Amino acid sequence: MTAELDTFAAPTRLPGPAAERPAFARSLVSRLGELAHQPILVLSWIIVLVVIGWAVAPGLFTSYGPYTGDTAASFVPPSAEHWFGTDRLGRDLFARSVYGARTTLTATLLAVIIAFGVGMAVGLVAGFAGRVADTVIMRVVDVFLAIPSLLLAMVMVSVLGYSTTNIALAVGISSIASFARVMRAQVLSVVTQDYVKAAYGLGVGRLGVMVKHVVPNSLSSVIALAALEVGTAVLAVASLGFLGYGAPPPEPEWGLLVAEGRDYVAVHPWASIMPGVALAIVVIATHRISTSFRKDHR
Amino acid sequence: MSDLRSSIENASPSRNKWPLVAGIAAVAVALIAVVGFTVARGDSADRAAGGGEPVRGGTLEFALLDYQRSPDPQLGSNYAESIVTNNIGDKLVWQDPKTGEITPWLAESWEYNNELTEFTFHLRKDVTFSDGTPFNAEAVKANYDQFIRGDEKLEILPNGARLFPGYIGTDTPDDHTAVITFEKPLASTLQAASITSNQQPVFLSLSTLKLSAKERTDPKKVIGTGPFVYESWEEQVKTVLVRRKGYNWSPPAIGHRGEAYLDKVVFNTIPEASVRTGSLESGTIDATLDVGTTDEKPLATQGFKVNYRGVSGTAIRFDFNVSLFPTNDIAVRRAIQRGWDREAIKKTVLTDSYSVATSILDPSVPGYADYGDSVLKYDPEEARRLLEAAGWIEGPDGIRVKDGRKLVVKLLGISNLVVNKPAYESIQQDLKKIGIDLQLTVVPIPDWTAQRAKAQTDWNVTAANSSRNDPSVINLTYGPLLGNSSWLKKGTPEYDKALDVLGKIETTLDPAKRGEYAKAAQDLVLDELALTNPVYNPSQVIAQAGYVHGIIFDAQSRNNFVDTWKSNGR
Amino acid sequence: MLRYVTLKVGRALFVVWAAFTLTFVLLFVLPVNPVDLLFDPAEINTIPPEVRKQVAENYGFDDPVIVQYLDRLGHALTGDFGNSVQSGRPVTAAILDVLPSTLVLASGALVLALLIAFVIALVATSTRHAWVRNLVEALPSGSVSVPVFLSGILILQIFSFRLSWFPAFGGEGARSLVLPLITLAIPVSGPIAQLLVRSFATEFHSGYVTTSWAKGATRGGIIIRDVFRNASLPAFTIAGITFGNLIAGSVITETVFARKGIGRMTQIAINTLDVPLVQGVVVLVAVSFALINLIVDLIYPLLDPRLRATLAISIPQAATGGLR
Repeated sequence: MTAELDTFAAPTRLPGPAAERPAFARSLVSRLGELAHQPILVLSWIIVLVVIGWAVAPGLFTSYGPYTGDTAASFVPPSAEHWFGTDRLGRDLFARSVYGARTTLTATLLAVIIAFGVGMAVGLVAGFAGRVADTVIMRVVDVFLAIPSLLLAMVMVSVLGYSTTNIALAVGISSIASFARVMRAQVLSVVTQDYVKAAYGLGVGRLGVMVKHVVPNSLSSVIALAALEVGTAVLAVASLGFLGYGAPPPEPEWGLLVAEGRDYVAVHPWASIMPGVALAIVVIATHRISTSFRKDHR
Repeated sequence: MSDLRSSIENASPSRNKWPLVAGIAAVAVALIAVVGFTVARGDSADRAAGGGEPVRGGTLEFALLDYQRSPDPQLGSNYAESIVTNNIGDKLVWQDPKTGEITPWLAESWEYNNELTEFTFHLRKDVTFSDGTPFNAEAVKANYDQFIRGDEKLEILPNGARLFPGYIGTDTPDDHTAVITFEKPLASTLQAASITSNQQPVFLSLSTLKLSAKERTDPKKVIGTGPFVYESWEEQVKTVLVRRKGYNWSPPAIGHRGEAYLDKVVFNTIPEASVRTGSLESGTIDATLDVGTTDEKPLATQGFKVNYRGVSGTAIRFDFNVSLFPTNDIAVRRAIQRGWDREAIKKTVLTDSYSVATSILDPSVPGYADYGDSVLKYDPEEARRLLEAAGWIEGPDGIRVKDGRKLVVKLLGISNLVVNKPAYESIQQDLKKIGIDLQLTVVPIPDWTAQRAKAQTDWNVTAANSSRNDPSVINLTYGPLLGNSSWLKKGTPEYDKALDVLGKIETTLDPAKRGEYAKAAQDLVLDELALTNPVYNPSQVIAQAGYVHGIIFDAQSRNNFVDTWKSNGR
Repeated sequence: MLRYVTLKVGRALFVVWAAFTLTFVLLFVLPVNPVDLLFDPAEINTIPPEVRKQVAENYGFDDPVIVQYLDRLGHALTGDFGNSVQSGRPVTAAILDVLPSTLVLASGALVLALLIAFVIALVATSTRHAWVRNLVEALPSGSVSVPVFLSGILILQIFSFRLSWFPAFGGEGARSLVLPLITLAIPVSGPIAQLLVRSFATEFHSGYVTTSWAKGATRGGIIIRDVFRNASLPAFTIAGITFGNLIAGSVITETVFARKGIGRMTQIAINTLDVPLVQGVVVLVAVSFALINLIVDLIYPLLDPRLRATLAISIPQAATGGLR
């Protein structure tokens, strides 16, 4: 199979002699300085932090509750009072978006952790443990790559039954293969570097090399992919909602707010568009952050 | 004579009072009805209301949510399948959608023995299949045998086994007489022979019956007697029907003579509600079923006609599991019946086309009785009192507790109707106020089906509806030997009571007695045992352009296009 | 070289077999009895047990799992995936029936997506204004951040229902293809554009371009002659991702626009747990995926002289390792 996800590694300049220090640590230090020159990146971080704030303390951001609505105020258009308008049961859609951040981010985080954790471990082993293990692992990865993730997620949700956790699991598992590929590609490139060979020369063991050099230097590409995965996971949940799999009511969830609002789009377009725009902004912000991780290597 | 179509198509303005008035009227009419009642009908309301004389010709572009899985008309169970089937095939009898009465169709008359185990049908002699072969007693026998027993070699399922339990066989004493016999009394036989929903006893030619399931996916080979014949079938996309030449046997009760007016009907499957509505507005289609609830009003304002009919059968209902804590406590079941605000749902979720349930039965079903002022009335005080009296004490978080266990009720529902989820959420909000934590799991049909297998041990409430315009639907749903939707346990007094009271419905066709048994059945499941909490009466809603006339809603609210025409004839 | 080809073909075959087996396993641990799905869900309890049994026998659902698996595998090898449980139609016929429609949609959308991606990359590389570049570079993120169903429905609302420029649904005529094409091309173009923007930038600053500058070539000339040609090559490497996007996108696009096609059929097959049909589709997708990657694997070394050189030295790792 080909290197589809190697896009993340493709233009990367391999760390030269200057990269004796792990790239990730270096980038953390230098990032603060760079930030000042990149207003869009700053904005992206602010957006993401605000959304995390929604998830942690939703009550600080809205005075409405997410579950109980005013039946007299069904389908009120966006206004100063209801920023996103209200839904059919008169519930404030902004409040539902704010409270929905927790469900959505938890699911997303779970998906990313599974994809990131398992994918990284698998990729690391494949890239580091020798020809046989590599071949076996990568053939399995090939199979998962051959089935488009939405398809795999649909089948898995059918099998596991619906819950936010199961959707997260499905999205996470169907993304493991991508992470494993990128991680493996990174490992393979790092182990050929002179400084790694030098480390071996200095008597550092395999495990030591892996922990001290290979992991840190491979990490930034995978983190870039993880940031991207946040957006992908949110959208995957929305798509599954569109196809008929929804979170248990009355739990608000972003993808579902968009998916359920679409039935009213001709008459009450905001019910779908406002959460949709919010969702798009967050996804774009995570993409921008993802890019910034990648650019560290340029 | 007030016309059937006028009452169905123009029912909108007086619809709010309809359930009550029409319900009582329906019972009354059913009681005095004489079998074999025929009426020469005058001009339809459309014609009288300025629609003019019917115009022949033209193509009706019709949209709906579902699609026909196979052209085999005896197989289908969704709306698309039912509607297509109703237009390519005919049945022995026609149930009047207004009165629930059984009237002639392919059978001119019929009689049955006192035990209700033997039904004799006298067939029309002028009916032919679209390949020219005659429709006769032999065809009835062949169809019923295969429909009820299936055919393993041809991979045909026993689709009709559920409708005709205890079927022994069909005798053909002469060419135009068919005698159907059963092991035990089956009063619902006549209605089953007329049924227009799900798998239905529609007649196929002998050549079609010899085809395997696979061969029947070629629509050209599927031959019926109906007003339309197949032109094509594209799975998941559309089905096209064309007019049957020489058709002249639509049910006398609908007052249509001769062939269908339309040349062609195209059933377009459009999954998205907004696309169906938009396509109607832009003139791409002439009429659409499955109109989104919020689209009804804007469409009406733009001059489209919005027609509907409640789905005859049970309401969308919460069936309580009486063998699982805490719904094994009748106080909890009664509190839920009284604990939610009907007005709130009417205002936010339902449109004028839908109504809040006032019984387990839709008002159009013969035998319907009204419980809107007794058991099924919003009375939070009474609900609280019932719970207090049964020892449910309010806990720190507002949810009641008894013997250290919380009042948590787990519900399993289907997401196929857009109204379901918001309606359930509204009930959830109300029940929380009286200390009941109703937890909702509302999922697509396959997941619902999967969970349903574990319903006895895992779910306090399963929510669904059944469409069948006959009071026997109560027995079918709650009868301990049939659906047993409330999981009554063998050996308990409730089990025996239900077996006795519900089973009686199948033992008589005497309208007065049947009405009495139906009332007793409703008393039992709603009040005495409180097995269910009916929520709302689902409805089939069609929005159509002003130039479309004469779409018939039948007794199960499926549509028939034999009398449909377009003013422009295009 | 022969060994390289054999290895690649073997891998492709393995992927297809494993996809077949994986779906079989997944669908067989399903909590639902496929027999139940053939009846009206509200009436499941009223289906007599002997009816269920007969249905299960008809479809072979009651055979031991391993027998069912081997039976299906054996038939699948001859191209027979059995009959759809829902319609009774042979799976192969059902798939072949809708395949052309999806191929037209997907290939059209791919062409459009490539066009969009190249335009974005060209503008981003050739502009002298930083703000234009920033704006254009943000487009790919934007294109993949809106759920496809929402963009599809909005596009329909505007161009079909409000402006009446295009028909809303159906598969007849070229005009009915325009809106679905755009809807599907938008998300597919994102990753391609991202890749091109970066590789264009890399090439633009590389040595041979500097040489061309020195020789007095114009900006436009450089982009078209040198950068365009060399930077387009990596687009091949994301064939797999693009393929996945096209499939996922077509599931939703075909549903929104009520078109017939593989995507919509898949969605319904999964929703109704039509095991033979799901299996047929998954195998088709896996075969296509494996084939596309096989072609890329075999052709890529021929196109890229740098790779051709590496290939001669180290064969097995070349295609994956060398591409970085």
